[in-house]
Amino acid sequence: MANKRVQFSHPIIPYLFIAPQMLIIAIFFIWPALQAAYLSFMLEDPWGMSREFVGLENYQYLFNSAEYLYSFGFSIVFSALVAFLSLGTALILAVKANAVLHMQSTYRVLITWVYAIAPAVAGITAYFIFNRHIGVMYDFLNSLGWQFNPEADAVDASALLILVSVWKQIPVNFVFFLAGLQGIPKAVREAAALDCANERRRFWTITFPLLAPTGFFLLVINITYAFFDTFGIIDTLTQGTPGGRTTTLVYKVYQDGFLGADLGLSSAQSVVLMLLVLSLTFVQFRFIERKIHY
Amino acid sequence: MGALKLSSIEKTYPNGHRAVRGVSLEIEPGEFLVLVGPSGCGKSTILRTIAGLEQLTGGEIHIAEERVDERLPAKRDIAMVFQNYALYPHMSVYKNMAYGLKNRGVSKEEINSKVTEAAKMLQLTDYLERKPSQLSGGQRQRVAMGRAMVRSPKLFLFDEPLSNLDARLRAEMRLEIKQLQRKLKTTSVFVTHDQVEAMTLADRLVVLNQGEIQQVGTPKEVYHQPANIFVATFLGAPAMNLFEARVTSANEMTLNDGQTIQLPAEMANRVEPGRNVTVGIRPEHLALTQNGQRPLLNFETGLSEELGTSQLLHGKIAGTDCTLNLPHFDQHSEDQLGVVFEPKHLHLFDVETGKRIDHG
Amino acid sequence: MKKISLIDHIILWAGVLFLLLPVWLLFASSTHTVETIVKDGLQLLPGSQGFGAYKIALTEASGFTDVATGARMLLNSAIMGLGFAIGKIIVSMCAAYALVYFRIPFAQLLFWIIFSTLLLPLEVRIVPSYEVVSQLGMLNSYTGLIVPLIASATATFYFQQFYKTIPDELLEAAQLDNAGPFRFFIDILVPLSRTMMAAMFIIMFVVGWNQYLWPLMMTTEESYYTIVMGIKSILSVMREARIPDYSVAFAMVILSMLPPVAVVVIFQRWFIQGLVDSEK
Repeated sequence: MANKRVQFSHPIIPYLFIAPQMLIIAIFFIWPALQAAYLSFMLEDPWGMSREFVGLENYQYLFNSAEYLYSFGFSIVFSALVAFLSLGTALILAVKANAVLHMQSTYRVLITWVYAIAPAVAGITAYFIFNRHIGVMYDFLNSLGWQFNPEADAVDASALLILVSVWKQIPVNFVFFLAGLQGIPKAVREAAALDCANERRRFWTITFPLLAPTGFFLLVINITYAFFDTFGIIDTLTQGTPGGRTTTLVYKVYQDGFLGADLGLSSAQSVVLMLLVLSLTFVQFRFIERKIHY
Repeated sequence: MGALKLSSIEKTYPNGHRAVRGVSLEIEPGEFLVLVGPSGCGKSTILRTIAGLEQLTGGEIHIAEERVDERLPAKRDIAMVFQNYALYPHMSVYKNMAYGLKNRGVSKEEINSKVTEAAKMLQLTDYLERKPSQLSGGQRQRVAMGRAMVRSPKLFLFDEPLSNLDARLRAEMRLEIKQLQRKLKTTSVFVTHDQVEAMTLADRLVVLNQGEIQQVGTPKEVYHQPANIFVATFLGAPAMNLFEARVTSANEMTLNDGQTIQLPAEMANRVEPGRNVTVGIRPEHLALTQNGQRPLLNFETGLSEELGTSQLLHGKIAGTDCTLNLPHFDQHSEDQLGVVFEPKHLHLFDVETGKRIDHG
Repeated sequence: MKKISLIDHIILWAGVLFLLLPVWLLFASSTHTVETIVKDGLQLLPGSQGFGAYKIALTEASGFTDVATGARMLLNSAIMGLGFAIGKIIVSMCAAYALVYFRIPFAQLLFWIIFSTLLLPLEVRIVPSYEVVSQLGMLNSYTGLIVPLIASATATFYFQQFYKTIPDELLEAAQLDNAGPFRFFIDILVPLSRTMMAAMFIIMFVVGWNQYLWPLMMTTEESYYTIVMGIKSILSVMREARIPDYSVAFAMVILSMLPPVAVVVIFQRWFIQGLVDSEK
């Protein structure tokens, strides 16, 4: 940490300033996190009356459970698709918004406002539109000959989840891509215009590589988003239906721990997720910050 | 009665870097002292230890006979003007100047009269309600000065305060600072790497290199009698020309290529024959031969540069790069010219130590 | 040149419509009668009923929840959004101040503890967190809704980074001006952070308002329901295969979006700044 040349030194005051944060972290973060780690080695009877140390049994059960392994795979495919589609759409919009001379700020407002919509609200909005009873899109897709039925068909349900998750994440990606594009120095753009007449070629050889740091950073953000922040969308749209085929890892933690009241199993899942986030953070720090640097 | 006294102060950073190595100095009341040296020479560190922004690792600092090196910066009765001014961007000019007084519990009326007075002196009266961002570079500089003045401290510290200004404004502000200091008679320590600033502002000059004092003296002394090769080449632009030579007799030296130079009269018999020396002469003290004058040295001509008031002629003497600063010079086509100089303008330095070999 | 620009605009409008249309459909439909919607589905054009459904959604406690009116849930959401944003900004500004401006032993350790909160989002540790809050007797309280969410340290890093960009000389000048730690914080640092605070406020308000899972678990008393979680009750009506009062349901959804969307649109500049800075 590069700090100030000159700092205050005082035996008490700095601790007064940092105390509220530390207190909140201790009570509402560290304690529950340790609790989760502890419970992941325990088996609790459904009424919470007794607990028994079972070692790695919860973990063994997890990785032998077809359901859990399915949701592991589903989470990966789901977040890859959400990240890819949302990044792609946002990149196209950002490049176009950066290219037009007029109404740039209007487009920016009209694209970013969706950020303010809660995932749960986005989910319920989609629920209405793709609903069997009143949904216009339901009728439209079926009139095209697609037997669209998210309540029964896992692929349809997943597609719907992905669509809404992509929709909700476009603004964040758009803002960062636009900032990245505008951060490319004017002199570089002008030099590129002199060196390369073909606009498409110029994009792929100059602009796109210069956006790579932004893109990789956003990739991590998007995967994190698809893992954790889509909870509200899933809970309002599919609740894991049909038959658990749209259950992400995070949704499963909630289902097993809160609805299913299997604390040990849910805690073990929390620990696995924590390790996933840890490795994602590691990748972000080591790989991305080192390798892609201009 | 020193206004400021540094007694063998030392500053070693935790990483082992020795920024200041035993510097001792005494400054008279009302004196304008300039610390000058290349970047990394420790001049800013010395200033910051005087201010109390850095802790000493050895030695003592006294201000007006009181030891201050253990005190908090605010308790040393000093004021500092920073390189980037460090004005509080969200406060008006008035509040910027008043803040230090307010924090010391000075009454509203007194603050008002002091700030008004300082503003008048600095021609800032019309700008008191403005924010720093609405001021020009020169005006910001004046506010920084005003903030230091209102407290009537025992000591002003200036940390390269002119380096953020463009050349013209820098010259103007240089003059203003000098006039102001003359008027206020506040003892001042001014840090700069710019030799013109150093020469023009200083009552006394301290040349520093690698955390050690190289020479202390008036600008004239330091320029005309540099204590060593470092000082000789650091001050003056273009830098002093240096040649390796060997004393061959009681009153003669020989250069690498066999050309000889007469020792100055007062140096004759003072340097034992056989000794190796470095001979220095400033570019403006070299001239070309005129009307059949007998040349003292041969000069291989190179490129010339027009400066307006004079010309620089680059070339070589005895195979060593050399520059002449000539008041007027007509393009010559010859590649060999004769050069003359007055022997009293020669500087002699010991080859090993770089120290001046003096007339005594 | 002109042709290319026209294509650009068409693509941009396609994107804008893709984002806008779903919400517009709900809004247009909210001004129709329930009969129209049941018979013909969602409507693209506004209907004859005006904003009647909004009045019902705001004032009538019946419908989806029996105690909480839309107005009450909006108020709770506002308390949650404001409390979260203000609390988080104060707590993290203070913590970052201690980390950047003080020489403290174990600073590195404290930094890593704070950093570790990024590893485990609330969604992941939801069950043990719920247990802790329930043991502390904070279920069904605004404190319980807001404070545990402040544990994550995004804003602390944000302010830490910002403080580091403030020139060192400002603190040095302040020290010469006899300003101690409290004075420097109040007189210099807080006023200098105003834009940063505004930017952070916009983001945190939206994040706080949009909380769904946490209030869902924390609140059993309907008087604490927030509007975002309140819409869940619309769903339970539909899942039980009953027909809800569609126009009122749509109005409720639109109402739940309105405040955060307004904040983001009105304070667009700060929002963009906050978003770009806070994610770093």
